[in-house]
Amino acid sequence: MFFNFKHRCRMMSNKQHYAIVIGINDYPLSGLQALKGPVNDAEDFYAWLRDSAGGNLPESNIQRILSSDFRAEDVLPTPNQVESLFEPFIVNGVQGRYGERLYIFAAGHGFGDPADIGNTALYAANAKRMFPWHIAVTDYVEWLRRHAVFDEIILIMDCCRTVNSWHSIREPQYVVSAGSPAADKVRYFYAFAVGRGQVARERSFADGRSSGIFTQAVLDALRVTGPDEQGRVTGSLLKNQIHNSLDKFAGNASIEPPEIRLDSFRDITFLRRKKAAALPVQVDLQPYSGTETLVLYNGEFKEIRQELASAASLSLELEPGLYKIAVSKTSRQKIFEVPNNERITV
Amino acid sequence: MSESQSDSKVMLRVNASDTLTEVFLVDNRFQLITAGVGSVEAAVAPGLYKARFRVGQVQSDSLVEVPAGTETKIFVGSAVQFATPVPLPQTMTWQQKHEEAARDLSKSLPLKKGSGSQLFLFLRGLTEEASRPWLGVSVHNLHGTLLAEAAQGTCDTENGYCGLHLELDPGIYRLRVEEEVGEIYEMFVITLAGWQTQLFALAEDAWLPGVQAIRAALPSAAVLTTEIGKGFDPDSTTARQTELLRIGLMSGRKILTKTGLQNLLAESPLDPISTLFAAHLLLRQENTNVQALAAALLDSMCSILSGYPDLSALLLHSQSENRTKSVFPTPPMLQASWQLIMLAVEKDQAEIPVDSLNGQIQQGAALNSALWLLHRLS
Repeated sequence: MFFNFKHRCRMMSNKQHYAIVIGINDYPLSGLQALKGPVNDAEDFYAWLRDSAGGNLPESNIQRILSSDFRAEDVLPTPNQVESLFEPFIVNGVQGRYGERLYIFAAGHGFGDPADIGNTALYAANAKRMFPWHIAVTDYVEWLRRHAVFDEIILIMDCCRTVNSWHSIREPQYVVSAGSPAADKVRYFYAFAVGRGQVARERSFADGRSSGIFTQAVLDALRVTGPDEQGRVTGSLLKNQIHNSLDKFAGNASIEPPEIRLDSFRDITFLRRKKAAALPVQVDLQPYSGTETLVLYNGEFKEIRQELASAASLSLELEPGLYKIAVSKTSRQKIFEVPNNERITV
Repeated sequence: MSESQSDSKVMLRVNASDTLTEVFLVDNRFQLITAGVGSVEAAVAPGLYKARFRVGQVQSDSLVEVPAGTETKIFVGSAVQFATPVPLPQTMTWQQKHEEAARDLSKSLPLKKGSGSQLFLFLRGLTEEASRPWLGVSVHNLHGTLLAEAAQGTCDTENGYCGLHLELDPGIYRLRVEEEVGEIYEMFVITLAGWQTQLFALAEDAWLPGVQAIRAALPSAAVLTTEIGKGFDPDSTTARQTELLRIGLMSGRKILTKTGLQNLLAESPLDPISTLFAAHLLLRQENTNVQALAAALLDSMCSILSGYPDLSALLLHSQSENRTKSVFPTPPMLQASWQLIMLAVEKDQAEIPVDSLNGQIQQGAALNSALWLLHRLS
């Protein structure tokens, strides 16, 4: 009976969690190159939000807008269409707290404000070079934080943050008020694909689908990051995982490190799990005689596996971390990192 | 009796290849142990660790094995390969032919347009499309009079570079790039008595909106200074250090430590551009444990940059409230200096004459950039 109760609790959706998901691929009026990843990224993030092992949000709590929702010739969404998703939170937020957590995911072409180092916006589909229509995403986020509309705000922006002196971020037309005294207590996790002035990248992955490198790293981190001793997958742990796994998703693309801001003393627990998900690693023995005994150590030099290599190539399933593998009674050894080393030779 | 945990710890020291590279040390679960600039040190249990080295927006990782039974483990990271317009070895954008050309041309006989200081422009492209980086580039005096076009220098299409060497009166000059007809922007470059100012730029996609061309990119340009006669030295630690300071300032990284500042001040003579970058980095860091060194830095700068707007702007910031109003008719090199001037104007501590070049820039023709003050000509 106790087990069933726990099971039911785990399956109940997070009714106090909300989300806004934005993905814009096409910018036909701007001269900006069309993207292939943002809509896919938004769909992937939406799927994670809905997943009972992920964000576990009820469908009604997620507002999503994608450029693929519209006919290409209509050049949508415009800033108003996207900003209307924030409106209910602003309207209700003036009165006080609205919910426990808000996720905001935005992918597309973005830019940083020339004068305000922390401010980042997403270009709307109808952006033009001389009329850079945009959504001032970080302004909205800061308003919601200042008014303590949610206890936790998670912002993920997979977009460029290049600075163009002609494109300033215009503050949205929300009401101006003093904010809430509880603003300092709002926990936050702001993750940008790149630092200010830098270019975010997308690429085609093995399944032939194009995605933002950063979004894939974030989603992977949400799936595999190991918990702390209390079983919590916190923002700090996610941040470390993203920083350490990004190269794996970059492929041959040259990428800049992301910028992830959080207050480690007021960290967010994204989800709970018993242990980290294991990842595949292929170990090739060169040379291979059939008599080699492989010994695997964890990052604290504790032996975690020893066996006679039955083939020149072996597959291991390992949790994220640092490892050392050695061929017993020889000097052959290798230290490696999971992720980032999907195939190693010893 | 079992060995206590502290007894089994090893002192791990991770050194970057220089004192201005950021260093992060994480454990085998990717938890940050410590972070610093130039080097970090921590007492750790024997095991595997990861060291990350970062310059601006570029980083590289190394795995470190700390064996048991040792007291100290020292790990030295290799240099982070960052992108720079300066043809420095161990950088992403290095090309040997560019390095050799810059070294030789910076020591060539300068085109005489004045006396007492030198300006060496080295423009280069890394792709076939960027093989004529000198297009549209010219040097003017503060009144706007053309002194030389980059094309008057030694230009090599095959190897994609151009070197222009000028002898000038010490002062401030306007380096212009005409990206297409009528679309011109400029930065301001200082030359100092007894010094050669070296300006390096890479040809990239045009920077001004609406222009489809590949031209020398001033926003990412690099400036070095060296005593006249020495020329560009690709192996100079000062050149690399100056670039690290520029990238740190441009990327908003807090990279100047007490050790870094001490190293800078130990140089003789002090490198003018490095000191300028360092002073602005210090302003941003509000680092209280280097106040004395910061004061020494400013004093040293007074002897080499006296009368130049960048120094005057910094002095505005450091001096007390009660002072006579400073007048700024001419622009500084750095955007950060310009911001200090604007702040002082707002507080009525400084003045910009309306009919001056700064007056024009103030009227809205300044372009926002991370580093240099850029001015679009109307």
